[in-house]
Amino acid sequence: MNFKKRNLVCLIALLVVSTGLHAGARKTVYPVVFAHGLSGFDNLLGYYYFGNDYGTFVGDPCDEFLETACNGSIHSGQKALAASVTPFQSSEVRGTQLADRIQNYMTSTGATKVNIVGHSQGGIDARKAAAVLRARYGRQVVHVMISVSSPHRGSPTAKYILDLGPGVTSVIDALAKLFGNTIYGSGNDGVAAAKQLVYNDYSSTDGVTTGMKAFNNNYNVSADTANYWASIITAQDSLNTNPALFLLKEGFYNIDGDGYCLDDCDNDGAAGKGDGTRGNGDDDGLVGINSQQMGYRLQYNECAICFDTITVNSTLGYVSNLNAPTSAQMTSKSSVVSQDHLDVVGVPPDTFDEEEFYASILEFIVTKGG
Amino acid sequence: MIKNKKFLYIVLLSISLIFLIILFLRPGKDKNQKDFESILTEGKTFESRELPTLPEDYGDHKLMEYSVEEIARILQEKYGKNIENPAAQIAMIEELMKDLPKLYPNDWVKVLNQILGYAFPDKVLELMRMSENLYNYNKFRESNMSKVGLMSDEARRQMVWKERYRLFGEKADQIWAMEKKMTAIGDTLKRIKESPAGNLDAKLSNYSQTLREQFGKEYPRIMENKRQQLTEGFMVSVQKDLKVLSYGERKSALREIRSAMGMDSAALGRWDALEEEREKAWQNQQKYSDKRTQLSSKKGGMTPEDEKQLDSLRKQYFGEEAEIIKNEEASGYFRAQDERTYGVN
Repeated sequence: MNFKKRNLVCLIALLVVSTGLHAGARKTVYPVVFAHGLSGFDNLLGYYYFGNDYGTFVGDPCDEFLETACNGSIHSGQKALAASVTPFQSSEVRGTQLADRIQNYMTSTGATKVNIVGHSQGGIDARKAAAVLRARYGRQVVHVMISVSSPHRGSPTAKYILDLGPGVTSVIDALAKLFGNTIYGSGNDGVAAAKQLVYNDYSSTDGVTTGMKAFNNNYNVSADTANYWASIITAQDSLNTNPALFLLKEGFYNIDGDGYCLDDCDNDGAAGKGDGTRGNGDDDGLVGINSQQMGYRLQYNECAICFDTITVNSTLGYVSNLNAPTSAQMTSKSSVVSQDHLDVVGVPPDTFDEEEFYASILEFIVTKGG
Repeated sequence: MIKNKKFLYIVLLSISLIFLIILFLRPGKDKNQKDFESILTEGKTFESRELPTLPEDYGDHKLMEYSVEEIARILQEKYGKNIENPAAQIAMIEELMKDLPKLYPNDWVKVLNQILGYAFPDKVLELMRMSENLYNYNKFRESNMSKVGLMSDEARRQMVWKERYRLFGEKADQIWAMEKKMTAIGDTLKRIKESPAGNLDAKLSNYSQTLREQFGKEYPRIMENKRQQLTEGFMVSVQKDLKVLSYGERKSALREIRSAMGMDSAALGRWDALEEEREKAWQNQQKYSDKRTQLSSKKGGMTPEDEKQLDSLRKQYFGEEAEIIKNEEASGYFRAQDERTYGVN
């Protein structure tokens, strides 16, 4: 290490010490529930969903210093649950299931509230779960609600698959290629899952109202159901996107997800529109950036020589109505985490440190009283 | 004859051409793999050396904040006692591999070698071999991702373990010890689920024994963290048994299961109350569903008055959840059609 670098490191170390930061996250006041996206809770493309390849869940604390099958970046007393719901279903179904699982956990542990971290559809299910829990307990049950890479305003990929665009011959097979073979298990409804993730009601003739627009009207950001709302947004250039995201890999389809308009004006399946340029880091392979902000936008500060932190991007403001974000909230690439949709849940290839990423989310939750 | 010769030449030429194409298109070794190989071929060993004193607050900072020598000293402290354990070796190497490529993108393998050499001079080649294997295993995972995702659990397991044993030998069992434990528990649950109804006590005893065997001395701690998940897994597996019981029998069976899984009396009391609440909710679902069917099956469909009646029925049966139930129905989801999983929903 050269002299300049060494000085910089010492300065950072000094700053870290002086601000009282420490290695790893503090223990959250309330347990943290991890809500998974499409596919099975412990098996996304053969990998543990919120974990690593050794069978370790990111919410597993280390009790002993020399323990290895645990997340050393979280507090040894941290309480967390990896909730399990039907892999492929609408969020009306999965959200109710998630509420049941959380109620079970609270009954077993005596916890009075929980925080929820939801990835992808898990962040959508979590909103429904929070509303159900509010109704059942007669009070707010979720303290901090954070979504990661969630298509709150729809995903063009879902519509492309339902429309059987080029390269797609079967909705179910396409979803299986993207997320793994759990879709073939009983109780799954891949079409319902895909319809959920399109902004508008996909079919006007099927007698039901599906899609994110209606869902957002029913389960919007609300202080009644959670105390603090925030989201982490992911996007990456196509070249770096996970090979599992085959629609991109095979060159069939590339989302253009960083333009603004009210609702889905270009009918691509997500609110907003494109800016005419695809492949410019405006989506994470499955979701555009214009679909992802809920509540505050969070900034993930990854750092090789200091501890990762999460801060709030205050310039972009707060999305309180999921169907009516501002132009900046739909188009700004500020605070976007440069990872693809699957990197943040431990599916390789990536150099992303999931354990520390989720630890930094836990630490952020602590700062919000969660 | 000439024709035959010509044909033979064409065949030989084609084979040679195909061979050359395969040779050139074969995925080559990347720079990191070559770096690993050259370091291991060189077989450079390190002599024990005096390392700097351990920073007092090293546990409060990230490894990469320190110099190579300081990192080596911290590794000695963190992993020294456990360095013979392959899982600890992997944990240590992973910790280094996460950040070294970001700090030293062109020569992180060499820096890794240096750090390991300073930290554990008598084990440096073993640790570098382990690092190379881990790197190659990660490349294998990357290149087989979609293929692996579409396999059955059994086929996936076979393929992945074959590669793990190829690269790590018997050490793979220790590296993936937690995964093996959870797989063994999953297999037990699968067997319980597939067995005929009856003998719930024996099933519970079998499951409890499996948990204790798998977790050993870590049993109390792991149960503390995963009690709900492991209890729910068992509940799902014994639905056949629970379904044939009367409400009273089922209530006490559920209580017994939860007690065996280590829940205290306060938790059992809370569960008793929730089970009663859920029983009532399921009965209400059924009553409401019957009335809804009556209204919706009228000739000519539902009138606005019928809709109003339905609203008040939902309010009567579901209280605060009435509006949510209405949303669900609009989307085509009817809870009454859900399968009831006793002890879970």
